[in-house]
Amino acid sequence: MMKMALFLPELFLLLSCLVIFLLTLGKMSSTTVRNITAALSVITFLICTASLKLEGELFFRAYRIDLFSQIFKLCITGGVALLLLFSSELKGIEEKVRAEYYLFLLLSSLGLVMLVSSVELLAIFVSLELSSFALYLLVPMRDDQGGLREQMEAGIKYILFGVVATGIMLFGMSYLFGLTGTTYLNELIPAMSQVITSPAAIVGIAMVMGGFFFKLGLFPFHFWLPDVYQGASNETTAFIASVPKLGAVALLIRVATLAAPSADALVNLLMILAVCSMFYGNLIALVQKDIKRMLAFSGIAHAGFVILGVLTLKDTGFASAIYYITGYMLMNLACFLVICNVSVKGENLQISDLTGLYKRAPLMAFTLAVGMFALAGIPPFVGFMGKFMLLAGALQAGHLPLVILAAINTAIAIYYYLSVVRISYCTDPEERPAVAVAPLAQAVSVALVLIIIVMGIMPAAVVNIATVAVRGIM
Amino acid sequence: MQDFLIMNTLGYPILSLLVFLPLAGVIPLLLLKNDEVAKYSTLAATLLIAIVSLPLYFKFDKTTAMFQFGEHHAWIPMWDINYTLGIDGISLLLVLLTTMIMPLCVLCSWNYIKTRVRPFLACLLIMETSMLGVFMSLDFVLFYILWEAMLIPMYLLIAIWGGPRKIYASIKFFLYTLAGSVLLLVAIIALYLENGSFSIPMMMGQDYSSVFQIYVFLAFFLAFAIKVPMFPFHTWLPAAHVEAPTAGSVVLASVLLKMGTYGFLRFCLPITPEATITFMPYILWLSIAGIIYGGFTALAQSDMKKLIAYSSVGHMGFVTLGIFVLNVHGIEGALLQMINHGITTGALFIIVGMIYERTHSRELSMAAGVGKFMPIYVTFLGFFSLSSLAFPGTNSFIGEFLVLAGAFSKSKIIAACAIPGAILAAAYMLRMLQKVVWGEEHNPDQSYLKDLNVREILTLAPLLVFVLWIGLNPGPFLDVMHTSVANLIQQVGIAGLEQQNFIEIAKLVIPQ
Amino acid sequence: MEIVASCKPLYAVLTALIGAILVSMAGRKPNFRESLSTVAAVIMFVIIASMVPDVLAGKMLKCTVFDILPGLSLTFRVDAFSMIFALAASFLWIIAVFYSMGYMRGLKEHAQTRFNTCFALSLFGAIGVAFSDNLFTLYLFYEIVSVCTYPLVAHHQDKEGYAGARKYIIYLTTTAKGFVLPAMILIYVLTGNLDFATNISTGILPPDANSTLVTILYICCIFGFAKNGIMPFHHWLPGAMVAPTPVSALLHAVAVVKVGVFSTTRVMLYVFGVDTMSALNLGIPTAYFVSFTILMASIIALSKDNLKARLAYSTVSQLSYIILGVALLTPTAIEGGLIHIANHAFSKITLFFCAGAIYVAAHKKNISEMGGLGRTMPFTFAAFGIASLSMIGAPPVAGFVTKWKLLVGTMEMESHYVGILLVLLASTLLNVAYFAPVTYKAFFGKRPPGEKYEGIKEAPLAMVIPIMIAAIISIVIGIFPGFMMKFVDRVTPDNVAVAMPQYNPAGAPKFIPSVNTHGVPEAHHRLAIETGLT
Repeated sequence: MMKMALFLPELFLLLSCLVIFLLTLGKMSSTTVRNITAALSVITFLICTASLKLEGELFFRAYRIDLFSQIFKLCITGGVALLLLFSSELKGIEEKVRAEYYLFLLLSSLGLVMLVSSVELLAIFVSLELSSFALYLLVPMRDDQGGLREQMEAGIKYILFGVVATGIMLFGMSYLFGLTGTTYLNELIPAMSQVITSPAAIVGIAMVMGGFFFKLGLFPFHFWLPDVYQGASNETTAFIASVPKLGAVALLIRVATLAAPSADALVNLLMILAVCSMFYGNLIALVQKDIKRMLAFSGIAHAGFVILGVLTLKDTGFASAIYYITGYMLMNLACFLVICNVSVKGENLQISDLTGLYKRAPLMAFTLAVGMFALAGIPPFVGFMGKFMLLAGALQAGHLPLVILAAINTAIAIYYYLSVVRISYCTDPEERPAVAVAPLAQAVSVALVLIIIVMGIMPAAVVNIATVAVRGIM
Repeated sequence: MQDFLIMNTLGYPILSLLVFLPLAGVIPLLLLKNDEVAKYSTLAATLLIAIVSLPLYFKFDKTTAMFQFGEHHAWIPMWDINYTLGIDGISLLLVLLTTMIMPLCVLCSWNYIKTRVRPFLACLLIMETSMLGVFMSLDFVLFYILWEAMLIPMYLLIAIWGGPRKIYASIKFFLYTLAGSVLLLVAIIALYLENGSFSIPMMMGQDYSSVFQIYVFLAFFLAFAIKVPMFPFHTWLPAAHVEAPTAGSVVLASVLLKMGTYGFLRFCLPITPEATITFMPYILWLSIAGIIYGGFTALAQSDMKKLIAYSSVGHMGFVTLGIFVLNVHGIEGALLQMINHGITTGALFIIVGMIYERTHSRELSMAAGVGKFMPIYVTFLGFFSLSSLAFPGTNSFIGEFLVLAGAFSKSKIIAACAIPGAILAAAYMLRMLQKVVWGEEHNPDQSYLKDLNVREILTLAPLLVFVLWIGLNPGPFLDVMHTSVANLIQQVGIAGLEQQNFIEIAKLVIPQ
Repeated sequence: MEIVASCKPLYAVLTALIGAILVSMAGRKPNFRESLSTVAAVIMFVIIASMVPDVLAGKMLKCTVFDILPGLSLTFRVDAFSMIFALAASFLWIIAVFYSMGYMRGLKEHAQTRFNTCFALSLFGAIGVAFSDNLFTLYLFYEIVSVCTYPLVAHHQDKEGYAGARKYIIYLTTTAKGFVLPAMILIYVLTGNLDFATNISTGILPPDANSTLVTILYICCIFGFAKNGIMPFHHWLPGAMVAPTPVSALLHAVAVVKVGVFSTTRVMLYVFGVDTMSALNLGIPTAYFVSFTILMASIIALSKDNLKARLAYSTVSQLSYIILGVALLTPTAIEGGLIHIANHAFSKITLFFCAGAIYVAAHKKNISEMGGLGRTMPFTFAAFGIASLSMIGAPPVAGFVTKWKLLVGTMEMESHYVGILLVLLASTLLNVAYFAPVTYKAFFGKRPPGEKYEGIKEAPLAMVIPIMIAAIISIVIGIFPGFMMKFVDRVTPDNVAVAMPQYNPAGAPKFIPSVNTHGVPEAHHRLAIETGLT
């Protein structure tokens, strides 16, 4: 029974999936399905909150419940709940597959939730695939708006790149297994420290990380990101852009602990990737017209930023990365909340479509501004605190050039974030209609703004708990 | 607690109160639906803040260089980031200047702002919070957060309520100032790693290595020089000033620019004294360049706001000149000149705003010859112009006098090079004055203009009082800064003794 | 010297300020406005006159209004030196108020309120300069004069007016800010305060100051007070003649230019001091330098047909007499220079008043058009003739006293006296050459062909009476120079001669007591005896 309690969030999520599956068989209206899904996800979130302090191991020690995993579960389910709450109707998804859409969304979440608890290479692989395959299906579910079948292109790209990345990861896992003879992380850590200087170990770790780089959208695993963001429906993109990245960071940290406390080659590699990612993302984002593409490139840049925390291979750095990616999820959700609501029929939004937003939907404009300023790393929002701690951690680890390049990147990035704010605040709506926003979405947006500010001003609690969690897995 | 902070004994946390009262003033704006009431509520809030800030002056202990009215709370313990507030003789007057200017900003926007009044007022109040916080915070992270957070309301002030080229101006403002301060953040973190604390006073007087000092100094310098703005980092300023609404220009000129020079005084000098001495000659010449450049450019302007904006470049050149001559006269003069510039240039922007409200133009040629129809207006303009050109008996004269006295005791050549700036100030200000009061032989028809009303007179009168008060009796203002300035110079002076050795090292780092 | 705290100088200065404010508010009622001006002028003169006994008793009245910085304050002082200028300026204000009333109404000028207000403000500045106790106060009021006279110069608000006024303000503020301000700050840096010394010998600069630096400071001060009209910074003065004549008269013969020379001499004597100046050998070069101005300006005046322009250059030339006298550094020459402040004021204002009267009555500006006009306007031209004599330096008019003193002072010099003597003689001849024809033509010249003087009468009484008063005073102080000399005496007390050993060698005359109550001839007599020239 005790073990059941440990597994309760996953169990409930699985149950929810079954419920939705049953609903898909019937002829229930999509609104009802959505309400049920939202309710279930909120309950999952509450269960995760309740089980935050649990610890234990399951499934032959392949599955560990600890603070580290529980925090991520909390964030993941919280993100999903928020997403479901604000995306009142799936404007961009064909009516007939909406119920299935919810099913796969929950399945993907289930995969992520399991991913963060997996401490064995194969379990990790299986969880990741569970999450990924559900997502592969979500992308092409968009209705064919322009007749260009963009969603299909995006879906194909997503799958192809995903499969390659998974292959690389699997290859890397085989290296690790070959070097150490085990697939259990807690056995790998001491075993790896014996062989960490060998190139094979570095290559192995790097390749395993590659799978998560793909999820995170780090250079050079970023090619899918803009196209998928653009091709997928707004709600799907909101999900892809925020929640799976949590799982990716969680696993990156777990893998990085294999290399701790020192692995110069790996650190150098990560450094190069981080710098490339930041510059590539920020520079290309400057010229984007489609807001989702812009956010995609911004996401690439942010992925580079997160790596700043990971490459310190220290508990503070890891904790900062957790804090940052959590904040990033929230900021992203805030932006996508606005996109989902402003988009009338689920079409993609150009930046110019936000013209005069302050008049058409003041709250949305405000939320968007907060989200953008937060992404830009302007205090007092969470983005700044995260950036600050990442830079501090990296500098502490002695990476001054990296820190300076990162700092320069924040200055580059401000331009495109600012242009969104500018459009929404400084132009007249002309003939664009007012935007109707459901009360629930309004409440969510207020909540997101508040969380973004509060987390930015009082990061101590989050960082403390993250540090404790990280120390638990090292 | 720490040996640099005298805890607040007033019985209420006066500094926190000052920081958070403006935020509290935003709450009614969210609830109110009526713009008129919102204006009164904001005016009341800013006046209340001004009144609350008065005890700072009267209870200020002039005999100590320590930070006073201190407050200290743990904030992010794992990084040793604290919520530490305190003021000394350097920040006291700037805090008071801020609290005094804000009600006037509300008053001068009374009719100027016609759309989205409540968000405008909210922006002003948020500005006030962050500005006051910047001057009070003794923790570097707190400082940096407020320093950057201020960009948002200022950006919105320019971008939403600005003039025709507001988009360009606001983005330029944002990009410049943000780009300047990203390296500041790196420097702050580097300092933290040296000290293990973000407490600003703890960072002072440490024995950092030369190379470290130079890098930190350069990072500081970039951030603050852009904010001041020093030549050649000034190009954002005219654009921002010209496009901003009156209140925005006033806040920008009176307070925001002072943050750069405040940064020099608070951080560069005491934290990296040796680097300061090393770079001093370069900065002095940059200041001179700014003074001369600002003067000549102002002389060529036909847009009144641009004229005043460029005059700001020149005036701030005097301030940096005073700071980096590193003696008592220079620094006290620079501090006083910061206050003076806040008062005078703020007033001039308000004055230009008043004519803009009437003629909807800032062109000198459109405002030519209003003297005949607006005698009260031109009287105020006359006094503030005289103050701006450092007419003896006005506030700026004392500041400029002290700065130049400091400069002359440092280097006669440098001081002599600043003199043409003073002459140019007279030239462009008198030119503007002459044009506005009389114009040319044939002026546009100005007979529809109405002279200032009571509200407008009330906006300008307090500033005029300070112009003459500081000009004739600067004692009360200089008294409060003596001890802190002396302490600051002592901090730099100790470093000067070890200078010889240091210059050799510096030569290796800086290309000669 | 006994120092007495007294608020009287403050009252005197404030009278003009309050007068100006009241005048500006009484704009709509011309009579009330003018009577306010008159009352203010009279009150100011009375207050200043009431300080005469104290000053003559050797007291120095002081009044600190604001302590600004350590060593820097807004302080007034009244001593003999300031009295020379203050008495002349305040007395002439009264006359000028009446005269300008006649002039402005006679020509129906516009903006008379502004005119009167600025007029009073200029006097405020001028008296402030006279009573200033330190360089800062001096500079403050000097700048006030510059700014407040600007609207007066540009009074006509036409192209010419703006051009003249622009030149005026550019010259004056540039020199003041470019030279005086740095000099003042450097002196403050060197000495820690800016207060004038109490006597003319020592100055306030520290004895060990770098001599090059002191020389530079000195040059800055000479050129900085450009109101003194020394070439090459004199161009503003002829340019400013576009102003209405009362302005030219009071300001450019009395207030403004005298503020310039007063400031210059005040700084030469009380900041640098005779000792420093002679130790660094600053006097003789200055004397030669201003000699150039004296001669050059006279020659230019010869070529001017416009009466006011000729007077303007005459002013440039005459102002340099004052500086020349002081620069010679001998007691008598200093006395001669200083007494010329008052003498030139009375005579030159007469000349300008005449020019204005001619313009109002006959609308003539050029000398060539004035042939025979003296027969129509006898009083005006008589006054003009008297004042011309004073400019030339002929007895019994005031200018003679100056010339005499200057010549005697030159004789006291150890060297270089030949050159200076030649300059003085040459300039006297030039003065004759450009002044004499005016009066001569007016009375004895032929009317220009085609000109009819019908309908031209003597100028209105409000103008003629002030003219006559000024002319008569010129004669009175020429015959009885004693009253003014009392003040001048106090400036150069006997001990100054002792302080100047190199100018008092054996064989040369000991310090020559200046003329007291006995008039000029006695001094002449003594000089003749003691130098053995006769």
